[in-house]
Amino acid sequence: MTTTSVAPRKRAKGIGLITHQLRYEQLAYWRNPPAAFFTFLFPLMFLVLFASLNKGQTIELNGKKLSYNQYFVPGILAYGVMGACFSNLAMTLSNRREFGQLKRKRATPLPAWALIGGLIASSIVISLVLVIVTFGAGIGLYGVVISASRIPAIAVALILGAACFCAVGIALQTLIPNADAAPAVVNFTLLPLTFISGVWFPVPDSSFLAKVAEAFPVRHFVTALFDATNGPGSGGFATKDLLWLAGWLVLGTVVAVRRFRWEPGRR
Amino acid sequence: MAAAVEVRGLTKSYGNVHAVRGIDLTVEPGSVTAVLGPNGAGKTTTMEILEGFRDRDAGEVRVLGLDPGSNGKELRERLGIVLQETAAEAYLTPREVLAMHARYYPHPRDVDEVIALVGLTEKARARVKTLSGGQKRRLDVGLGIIGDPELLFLDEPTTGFDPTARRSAWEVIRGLTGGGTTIVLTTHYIDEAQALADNVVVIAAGRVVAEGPPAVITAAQHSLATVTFLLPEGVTVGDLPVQGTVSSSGLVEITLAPADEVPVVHRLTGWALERGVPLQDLRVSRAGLEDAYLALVAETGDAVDVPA
Repeated sequence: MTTTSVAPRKRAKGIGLITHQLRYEQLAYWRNPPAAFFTFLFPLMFLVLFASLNKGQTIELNGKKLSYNQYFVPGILAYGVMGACFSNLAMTLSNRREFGQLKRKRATPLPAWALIGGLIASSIVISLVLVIVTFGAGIGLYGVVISASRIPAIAVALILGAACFCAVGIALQTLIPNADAAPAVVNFTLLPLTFISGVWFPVPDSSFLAKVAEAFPVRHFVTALFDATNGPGSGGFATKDLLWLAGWLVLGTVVAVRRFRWEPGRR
Repeated sequence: MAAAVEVRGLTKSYGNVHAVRGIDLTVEPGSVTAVLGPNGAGKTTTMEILEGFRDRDAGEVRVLGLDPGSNGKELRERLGIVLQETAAEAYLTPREVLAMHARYYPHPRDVDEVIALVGLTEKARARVKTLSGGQKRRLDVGLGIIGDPELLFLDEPTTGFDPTARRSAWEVIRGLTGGGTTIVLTTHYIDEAQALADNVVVIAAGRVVAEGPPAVITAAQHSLATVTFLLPEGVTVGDLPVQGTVSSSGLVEITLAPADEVPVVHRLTGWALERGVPLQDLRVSRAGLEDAYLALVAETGDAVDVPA
């Protein structure tokens, strides 16, 4: 980017303050190769790898046959949204706290809600791009079929999932001692859960690992998105899973608000 | 006019560490006040209480007439704060970072004007991560003044600078005072306090040990003058009309109280004229702020260690 216009010299307020922050968050995100690679290109790379390798394969799920990609595309999209929301927020906030950027913002009149709101809005924009690219590639390249009647259910699952993982990401960040530990904590919590939650391949409901995964939000997000695209019935709303996501959203929000710190802890 | 900063009996402890033990401070509007002290003296703790980042244990604090402990939000619109650590967004440009911050304030300064003021015009469109340490620090100062503050806090603005970068930072700070901004800065560089401040507050071990214009502190603390010259050939110290000591290199040193300065120099030069001997390298020097500061800090003993 070679030219940038200077923002008009009018004070930003309310929602305008969030869009103001969003603009600079987006600039900073796309210019930061590690961040953009880790949370944006990573899920797309896995989409291409897994979907290409398993093209034409069928799997059996709960006695029903379906193509691997019809199963996998909603799962990898859930993974992408979790990266853009959960991993992105947890790592960005850990870094900014450690390197004094949060404290720097606190020295200005920018309210905390606008700072966090801008970051969440940025995560949502990244998620939206991932939704478009993932579903676009799924339908265009990998023969995934999505019924138009399921769009409301897909939207609900995505919105609730994104909100939940934003909240949980900010909450987890408050438990991360320093920026060095952030990638390890984020991957250690998210990656194993994606395996037992059915992101990459089905994990039968009756299995022990699925029971463990039930306690965490990842499996519920994957299931909600899978049911929205492929599930039985007319609407595709996985009510139980959506409620679990809402529960984690509340828990994450409470922890995030209570434990949020502007400065690194004393060492 | 009310003081820009008024502090009475400020105390703050971290556990058993008494970082600030009863500080009084008055900052006049439009002035530059330097808070001088060794590391761990309580400078940063005091600043952070004034900035509203930390609670205090006891004492009265008024910043622009407001209590930073309870009016932090209102205060932040009228304050500029430059923290000890540099922390601008690495992947944005100085121009973008300043434009982003400008819209947080009710009456911000012009972005380009601030860029020019802090001397970053050439780097305005470079990523922050490519700036040198000194340039990043000047961006910090730019962020401190973008909201056109009535009062600017600068916490160790030039620590880690090379001498050239320090001079150019001083120029920037002097430029701000022309606009009537009140400035409170902390430093452990004596020359910085001397170069910039109207008023110096020396803090050691959590207390104010001296306060006043740099010249007054020097005079009050260390009023002795020293006369030095090279001992003329063929003359011994005993021949001199005044008491002095001589070093192995032949340098005579005479320490004087201020009142004796003129008579002693008069007697010495009169004697030299009479005898027809030169007084090579004759010098009358007075203790600088540095000597005064070191003496003051030494009096209070070792500074208290405060976790950073």
